[in-house]
Amino acid sequence: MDQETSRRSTAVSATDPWVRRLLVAVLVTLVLVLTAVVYMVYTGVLTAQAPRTLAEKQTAMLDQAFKATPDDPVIVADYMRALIAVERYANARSVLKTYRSGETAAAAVVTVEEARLLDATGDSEEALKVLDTAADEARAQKESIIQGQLKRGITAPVSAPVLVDALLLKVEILQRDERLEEALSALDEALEEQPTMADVFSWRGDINASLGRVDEARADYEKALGMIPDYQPALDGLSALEGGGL
Amino acid sequence: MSSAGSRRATGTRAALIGVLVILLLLLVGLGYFIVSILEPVGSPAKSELPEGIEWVRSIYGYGPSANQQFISPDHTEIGPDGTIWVSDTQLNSIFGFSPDGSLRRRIDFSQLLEEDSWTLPKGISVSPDGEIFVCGSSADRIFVVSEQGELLRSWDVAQPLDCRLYGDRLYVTGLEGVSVFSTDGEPIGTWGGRGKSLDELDLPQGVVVGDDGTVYVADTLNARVKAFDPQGALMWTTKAGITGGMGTDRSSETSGTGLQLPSGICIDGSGRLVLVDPFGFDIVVIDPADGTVIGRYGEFGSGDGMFGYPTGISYDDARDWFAVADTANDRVQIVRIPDSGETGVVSAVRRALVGPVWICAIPLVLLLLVALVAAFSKRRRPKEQQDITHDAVSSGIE
Repeated sequence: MDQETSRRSTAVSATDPWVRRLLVAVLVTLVLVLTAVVYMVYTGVLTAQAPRTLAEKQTAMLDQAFKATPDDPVIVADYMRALIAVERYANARSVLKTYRSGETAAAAVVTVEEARLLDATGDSEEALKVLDTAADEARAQKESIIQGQLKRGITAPVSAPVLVDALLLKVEILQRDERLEEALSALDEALEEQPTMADVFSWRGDINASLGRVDEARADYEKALGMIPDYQPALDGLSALEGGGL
Repeated sequence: MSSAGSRRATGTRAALIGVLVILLLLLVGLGYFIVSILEPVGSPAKSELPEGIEWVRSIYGYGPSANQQFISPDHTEIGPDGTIWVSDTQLNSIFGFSPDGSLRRRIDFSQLLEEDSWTLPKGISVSPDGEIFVCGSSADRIFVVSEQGELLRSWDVAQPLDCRLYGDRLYVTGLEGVSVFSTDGEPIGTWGGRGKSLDELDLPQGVVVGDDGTVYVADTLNARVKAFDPQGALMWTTKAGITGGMGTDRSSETSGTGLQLPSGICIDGSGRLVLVDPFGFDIVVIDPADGTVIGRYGEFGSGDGMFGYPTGISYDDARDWFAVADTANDRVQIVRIPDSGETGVVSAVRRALVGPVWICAIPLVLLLLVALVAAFSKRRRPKEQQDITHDAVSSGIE
């Protein structure tokens, strides 16, 4: 009797139009899922592939370098910068976390990339604070090198490229936030540190021009052109000044 | 009994809805995964590319690790099945890639040849039956290998740089100009010895043969492109290019064609000559009728879509794209340029179908089968019911 009831109930289910429709929908979806799996297997997307873009190559090569030497601050910084460039922020955070979890001293080059990551993820205020820390670390590092050289009787000038990086990133953020006076001050320090950057002179010229300081702007553009006579951004800037763009 | 059946049907519906939701979620997840993996990370935006260049993808090597990257890709060739063959002089190998960029085969001459020789493989040409002719420029030999990587035969040629099959002949450019061989290596003829005069050639890095048998040669160090008839008589030559150095003035007033170091050369789907100029960092399009330069595409740079010393180029008619050996950037770039092939819906569909997209036809076929089975069973059911009714009526009469 029970078996008979069950048989009839099954028959009722099978003849229910909604059950039939749902069965067709399940079948169609199952076929699509299987197709997706077949496509993945056929095209080999699941296997490790050679890089297809410069960004993929850079991140792949830096990933290998990072795995080999996770405590090298220069590799960590390069890797973080490459990941930030392709908007893989979670990976960049993970690299930073791994680096910081090791027995590593503070490294300005990594701190600058931490700031870049913060800025890229929308926290520009925190990024500026971290950049100040990075700049302090870079200045301390420079001072330490100078003292070391002095002990050995060397008085050669010491450059601090990381300090310049920190300052220029700071300028980018400040300019975007229209804090132009602070941006100019950071640019001044960057140019004092490395006075051979035609693009940065031209950049300062642009900011001076937007603040209406025509003479300062002209002087900056001319300095840039003194280094690279056909430097187009500086020529454009001068032309805007001459053309009464201001 | 009726309520038990109803409960059963409700339970079945709920179970099926649950299964359907899970499958749909799985499908969406897989779709997202596939799309995110197929789209290369950091692909250049259209606005970042030089005018006229459409970037498809780059191939940086044959695997993900640092020692699997190209060092000096030199020439490319598209096989009859779309395989992209690449020679890398520093890796002493040629590589075959499927059109989606995955490695099919590496043929390493260091392993292939028993003697310890550095062949410096350059130009490649593939026959319709899959034999691969490779210029071993420092070995002074042409090597013929199978797609499986077996050495079939080889013969001597002084510093061969590029080669091209045309019917049963192989045209080889090298130190001695153009040498013509049978595909078994029997010498047939030679012309254009090394020199600066119009009918001479100076280390020509590229050769291609038109449908009518015209032999077009990139006369590299003379900064010209020359056309010869099948017997080797000069038909035309481009105006003098620039032989002074890299990246100088391209304008036709001062430099004729503006060619500086014409290298790899091929013929596109529109019948135009297309070559690369390593010192111009671009792709140059030339009218095969008279050698007039009709277009230049490309800029110097390391970003994808830019060129740094491109030396080899080949054309895939089925996909209407070019494989460019971008030597100084250690990569091969797959790019398109304007007017190189057929346009319109038919060619777009044809191009789409030569890729792995055809595999998506599987669900359509399966669904069609399901629909056919359903339709067939629907047709059978009323007939069976009709038969049962007929039987019942018959037995009632009896």
